[in-house]
Amino acid sequence: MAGEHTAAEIFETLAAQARLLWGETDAERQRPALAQTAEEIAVLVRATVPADLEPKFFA
Amino acid sequence: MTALHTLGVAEVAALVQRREASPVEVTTACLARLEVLEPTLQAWVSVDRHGALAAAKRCEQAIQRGDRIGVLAGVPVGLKDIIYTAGLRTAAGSRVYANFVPTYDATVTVRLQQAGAIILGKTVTTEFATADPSPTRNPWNTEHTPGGSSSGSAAAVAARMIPAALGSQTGGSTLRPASYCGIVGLKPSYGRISRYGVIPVSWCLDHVGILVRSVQDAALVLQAIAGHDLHDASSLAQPVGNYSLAVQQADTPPRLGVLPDFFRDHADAETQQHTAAIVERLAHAGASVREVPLPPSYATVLAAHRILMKVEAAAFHVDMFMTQREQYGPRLRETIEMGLVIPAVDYLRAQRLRRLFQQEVPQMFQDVDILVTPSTPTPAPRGLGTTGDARFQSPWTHAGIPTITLPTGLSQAGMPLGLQLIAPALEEERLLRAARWCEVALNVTLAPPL
Repeated sequence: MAGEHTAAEIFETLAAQARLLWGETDAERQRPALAQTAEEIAVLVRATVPADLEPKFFA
Repeated sequence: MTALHTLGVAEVAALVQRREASPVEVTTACLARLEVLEPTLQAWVSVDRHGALAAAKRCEQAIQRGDRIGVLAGVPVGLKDIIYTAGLRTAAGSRVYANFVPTYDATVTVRLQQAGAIILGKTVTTEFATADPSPTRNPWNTEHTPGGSSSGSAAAVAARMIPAALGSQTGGSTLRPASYCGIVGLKPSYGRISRYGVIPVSWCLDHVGILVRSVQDAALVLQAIAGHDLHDASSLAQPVGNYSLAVQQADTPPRLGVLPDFFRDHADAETQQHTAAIVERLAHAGASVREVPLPPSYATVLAAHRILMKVEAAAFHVDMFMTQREQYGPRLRETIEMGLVIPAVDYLRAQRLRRLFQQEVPQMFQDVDILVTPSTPTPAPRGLGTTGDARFQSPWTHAGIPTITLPTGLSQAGMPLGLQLIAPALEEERLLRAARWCEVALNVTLAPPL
């Protein structure tokens, strides 16, 4: 997530998106899952990816 | 004579070919076993008694005519209920697909039939092959989970209802239930077996898996169903190996690599001690053993795997989910909800990190033939509220490399434990050869007290 490096920052962005999609009540229910997903994204964001490394979907 | 329902794939195929057992006799024996145990184990969604007996009869007539028969002629099999069967309901453990009847067969269904296998019916899957548990019970102790998502396939093979079943694996859904139920589970390289006609969880991570009771049986079934399929964009074009021959050439002790960090730290004490003792027995039998470090990108593997699975599951389900959200179980619902809010750039970062891991994995095999780990961190957990922990399988599914689990003994509580063997990409022959060597060296076959 560009410009966001901590799980807390990422969580806020995901939670805002969830509120838009599902409303306040559902987004609140999703808090634990959103927090876990934010932690996972934070792991990816912290990792260095070589600039020339392209994704390969079916391999 | 040994009861027909207890025979493995190779034994049934050999008896049928020698006309010492008829396909109808074998199918009838398996159906009888199934009827006795099914009320307790709940491994089947549907049993196609009429269709199976008709197929067995046709097989028998072909043999009597002297026709050329397939390598699985007369072998009863079960198919996980995410695998398309034309005219036979494929509900995927879901209320959304409750009445879905495919109009065509999956490629694996066709290949099994072409090889002469008798399809007994559809085995229980967790909802859409994800984490919401199924009602299936573990044949070793019905108070324990059989694992998932290929719950019914594992329970049915372990309980001697059938000698073989197909499952699938996106994280650990073939090897984990196989290990929890004390049988052999094989997941080949990504693309080795066609996914056409198999309801997806995640296109880039899904594999078809094989559940049997011996390495030789795994090789036979793989031989019958592996190979390129124009219907599947991810299908491998590389030639299929001679897997049946590979397991007959298992005389050379393999060089084994053990992974000291993550896999030791995350297993319970009993599993750690058991695995160490098994590796020692293999070393005593002639295998060389050395520790192999995990590559740097391993640190991102589990996170990347979960991100890919959530986004791709959401992409597959989104249209149905928006109109039938209440029909989904809580864990799959949560998976889809998360997949719908993960930004595309993070999904692509996960894909790039997956490729980085795939590039680093070959380094792990520089000085060893095969990697070994406990198949699961613990034996099958008590209760049916979870299908267990996939973290020992997910990294290799993520990398798309072949893995197999062998039963290696029982825990103090009487639940099966297993050893996972891992080979480089496309090296199924190496994997099966090493697995057969270990199987002979360990000489462990587990049968639940049913």
